[in-house]
Amino acid sequence: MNNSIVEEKLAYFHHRSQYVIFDNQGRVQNSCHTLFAAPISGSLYEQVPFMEAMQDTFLQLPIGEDISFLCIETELMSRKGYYNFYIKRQSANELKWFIYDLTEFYSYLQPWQQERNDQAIAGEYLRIQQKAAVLEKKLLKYHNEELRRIEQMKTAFFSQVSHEMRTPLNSIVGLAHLLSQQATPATKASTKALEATARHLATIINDVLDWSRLENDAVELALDPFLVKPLVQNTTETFRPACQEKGVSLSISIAPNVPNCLIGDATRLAQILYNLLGNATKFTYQGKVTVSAEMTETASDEDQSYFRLTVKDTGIGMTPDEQKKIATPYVQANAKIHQQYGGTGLGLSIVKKLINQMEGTWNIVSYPGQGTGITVDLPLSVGTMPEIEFEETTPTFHHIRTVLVAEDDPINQKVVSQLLLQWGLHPTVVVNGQQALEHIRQGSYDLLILDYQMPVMDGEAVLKAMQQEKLAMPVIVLSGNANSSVLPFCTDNLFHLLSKPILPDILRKKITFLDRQASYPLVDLTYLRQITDNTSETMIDLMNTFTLEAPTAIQKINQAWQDNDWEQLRKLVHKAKPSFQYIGSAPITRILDHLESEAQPINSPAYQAMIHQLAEKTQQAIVQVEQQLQKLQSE
Amino acid sequence: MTISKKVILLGHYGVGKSSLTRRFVYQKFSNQYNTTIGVNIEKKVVALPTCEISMIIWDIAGETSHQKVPQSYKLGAHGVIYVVDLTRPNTYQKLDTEILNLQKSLPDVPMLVIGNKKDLFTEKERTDIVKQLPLEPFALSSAKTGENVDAIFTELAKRMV
Repeated sequence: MNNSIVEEKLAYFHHRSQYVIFDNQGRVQNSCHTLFAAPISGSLYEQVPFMEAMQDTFLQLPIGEDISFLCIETELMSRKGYYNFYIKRQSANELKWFIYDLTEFYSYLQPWQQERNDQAIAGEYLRIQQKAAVLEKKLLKYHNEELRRIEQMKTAFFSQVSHEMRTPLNSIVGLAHLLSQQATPATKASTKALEATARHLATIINDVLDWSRLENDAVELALDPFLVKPLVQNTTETFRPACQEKGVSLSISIAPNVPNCLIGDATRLAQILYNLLGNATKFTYQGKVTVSAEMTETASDEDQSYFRLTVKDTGIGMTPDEQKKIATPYVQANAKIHQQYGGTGLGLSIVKKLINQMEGTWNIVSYPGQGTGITVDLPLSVGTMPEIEFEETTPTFHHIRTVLVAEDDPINQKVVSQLLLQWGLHPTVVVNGQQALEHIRQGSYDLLILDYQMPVMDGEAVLKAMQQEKLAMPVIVLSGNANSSVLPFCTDNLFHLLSKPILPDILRKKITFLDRQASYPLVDLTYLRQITDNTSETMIDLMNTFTLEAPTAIQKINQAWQDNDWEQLRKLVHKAKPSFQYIGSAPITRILDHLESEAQPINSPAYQAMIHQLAEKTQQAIVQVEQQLQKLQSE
Repeated sequence: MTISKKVILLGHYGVGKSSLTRRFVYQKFSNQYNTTIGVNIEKKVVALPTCEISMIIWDIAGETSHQKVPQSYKLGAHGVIYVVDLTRPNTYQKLDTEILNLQKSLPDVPMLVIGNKKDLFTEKERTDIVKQLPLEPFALSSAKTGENVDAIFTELAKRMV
């Protein structure tokens, strides 16, 4: 090896290292003093903390044994640095201490180690945060589920209370109505007041329940055509007696541009108007209340027509602060209002919620002592439904005569039956769903009024069974909960939901509507196709048989009726029925059912009308079957 | 009479061993974390009623297990302070195993387990964390505020005599 390299190496290590020879007492025997001046007097154990700490160990170190200490950061005679130490026992009383100064190297290494540790610690905190985030998410989910559960419980509670309250209330409203119909002049005022009070209680309960459902987004808006003018007029007229009593004039103005029919939720629109008018008449003591309706268009969306409803009054009015409060649930404009006028503080909250749900807007202009004007703009499309006018006198139903009433509550049974009898219908009452289904299978009814909650078999089960067995007929479902979600599987027009308490007018309108809807096709070959497996030849054969035999059968029925031979008539009707069932003629089958059921005396005008109707409709059915025959034969 | 005792501080990196030493020896604290490499040796004399103890404190670079610490550092130790960080579960999850192994390699040596950084928690939080520790700590400390630091070293000094 080149001497100069060796010298260079020695020179490098020379000023970085030191040897110290010391005895068991720590006294320095010899030292090269290259790093520090080793103390000549005294003990290393007293002057160097490292030596002090290791004194016991070094004393026990066997001869020839050594120990290494790497990377010791300490002070050696006021010389702070990083050192590697090497201790070796040379003899019984002599130890050698080799010191190598690596301050430069370890100082360079420290930042690397620092970075490594910083990253590791940051990683630990990140994992903790992630774990906390997962736990928080779980907690949040749990809280949300809890809130949802509470909401569901609340809704279920309201729904249950609603049902429990509405059922007896239904009875009170119904019986009060019946009483007022039969009232003597002496009791008329009392029965009217009783009816009004019952209706008022029904309104309060409905408000609370409506708000609960609106709050939970449980109100589904209908999108059906409805007649605008009757809705505005009828709702407004409800308030005329109250206005007259107070000497307040009530006027309605419907602009010529308002169409006959709009598409939307008529019930909810009426509720908006009802609540606005309720407030207007409540807070007005002199002057007038006006209702106006018109169609408007906005510049930004010209294709969309807006139905504008304005209710103005000359009542007590509101301050700007009071106006801000009125849409807050259970809060009234000021504390005196409740003391003076009563109410739940929900009316305008419901209005605001409904307007929002219909994507409409409202605008309030009010001045204390001068009055209030509320304008509601709703985006409603123009519909095409023909106008239906309900008669105020006893209604005439053309298709619906027999009604099966399935209701377990005895008072409700009585109320509904009496109303139906008043309207010239024939009710049959059963007390549970099971009995209802048996009657539907055996008898022939034009309408089913079905309570949703009944013992043994509830309304839902009855409706499902009817669907499975293809027992189609118009149904009015009575429910304490007017939410349409109770009829998710009943989508056609034959199903109507009626919330309790039953208001006679509403029930009558529903039946009228269904009566007008009940226009079944005179001939429907679906069943025939099914039983012949769509085989043309067999179908043609059966249809030919019908066209040949039907006139004879009807003629024989007519003869038996003229002979006043009830037994023969019943047998003939019974025999004729299957032919009409094959060609799917529900209207004729229903006439035959009525003729067979003795619901009317054989010599009554109604029975005579049915006999004539049978002949007429059979003739029309034959023509339609012949047309279908020609079509089939040409295929 | 002054008796020399070697004390070693063990535990994961960043738990506050150097801060505790600095607080005990110099009554100082820095929020800055400076990692230790190898071992830093400090000295402080503690006066007990019967004697003085010269505590030579070996503040050893943090490791996830004491088995990674060079044997020579632990050689001749008279007392051990094992420090965990209350904010980092990683530093105390295997505490029981660590202490058991240490007791095997340093039999009859007094050891104190310390939960550091107590100033970062409320009383309730501290109680909850202590319940999660595999071993009950001798004390909770804060190098930042100095709480319990002298008491810990003094207690160890007493136990080493």
